[in-house]
Amino acid sequence: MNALPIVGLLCFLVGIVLAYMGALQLERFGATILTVNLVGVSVLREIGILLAAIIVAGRSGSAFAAQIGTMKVNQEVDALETMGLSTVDVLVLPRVVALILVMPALTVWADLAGLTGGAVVALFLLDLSTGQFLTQLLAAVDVWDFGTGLIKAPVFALVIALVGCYDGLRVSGSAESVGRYTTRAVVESIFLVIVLDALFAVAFAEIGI
Amino acid sequence: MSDSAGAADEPLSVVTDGGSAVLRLAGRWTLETVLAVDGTLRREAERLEGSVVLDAAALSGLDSAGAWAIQRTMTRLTARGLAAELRGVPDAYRAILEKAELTDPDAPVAPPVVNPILAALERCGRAVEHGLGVGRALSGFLGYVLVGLGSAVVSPRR
Repeated sequence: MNALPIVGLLCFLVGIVLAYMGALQLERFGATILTVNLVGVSVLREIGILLAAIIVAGRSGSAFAAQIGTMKVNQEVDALETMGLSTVDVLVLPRVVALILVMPALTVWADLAGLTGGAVVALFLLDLSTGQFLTQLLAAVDVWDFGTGLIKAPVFALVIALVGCYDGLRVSGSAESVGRYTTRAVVESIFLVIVLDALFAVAFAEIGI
Repeated sequence: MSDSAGAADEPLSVVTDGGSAVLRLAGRWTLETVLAVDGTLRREAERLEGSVVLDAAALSGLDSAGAWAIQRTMTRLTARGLAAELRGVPDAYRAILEKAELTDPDAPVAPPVVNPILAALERCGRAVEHGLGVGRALSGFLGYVLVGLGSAVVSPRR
């Protein structure tokens, strides 16, 4: 829940930027109406999920690594294992499952915020009405534009949670190690998210969705 | 013996015994003592010719600074092509002398010159290797987590 404002605000602003820059270029061809298509497709297919995943990697992935890493330094993980509890069951699985469940919802929220940003530009810069914007948007996008983002969401969530927990469990020795592995978790998860996004883009293009 | 360069109870004295020069080490060779005689020791290591004997029989104390100074002198004499011999070391000090020998590595005079293009390629290669290692480890961790997830699904009350 705490990520909603920042995800919403960033996607809203990126939607505005995308629509504004797109409108400036498309205006030269007399096709400003296609700004709606540009914003709709790019936000639903890429921008929404990508921004949400990057923000979640920066917030939640780092938090996972820092929490588990601090537990390692305080020997709480050793205590769990001494009590016969599995580290994966207690520390990793709840975080992985929670993030997989939440990420699609966050993606929908990010999509809505990005489209709202595009709509603001369309209403105030392109002089479109809300009805015209929605009509054009529905004509421009199909269910798969929305679906591709939702398909990617749980995969990205799995990667972010895995990397965060894995780097947290690699912490050893000192608080300095916690900071190092937390930073590494963020960098690795954002890198993997973007690589996976590229692979998804190619795969979706190959299968025609 | 003749040509004494110091009294017998001095920490360092130089005498000649036949054809050999004898550096006689006496008393406690600890940090304070070594600081006082280090200049003389270095000069004698550069000045002496022929065969040189370091006589440590009269040592009554030795720490790592003293041991390192003795080993450095032996190394310097040998490097000059002299026949250097350390004799009379009390058994109690042999261990620290051997340690001083082990912990005196040859330091490089200057860092090796590396072609910047090759260095960049090497960094790139190491980064790729590190990335592959991380990918392999994450794959293993993913499998581990999936096993845990499967177990939790099959028997949630375990």
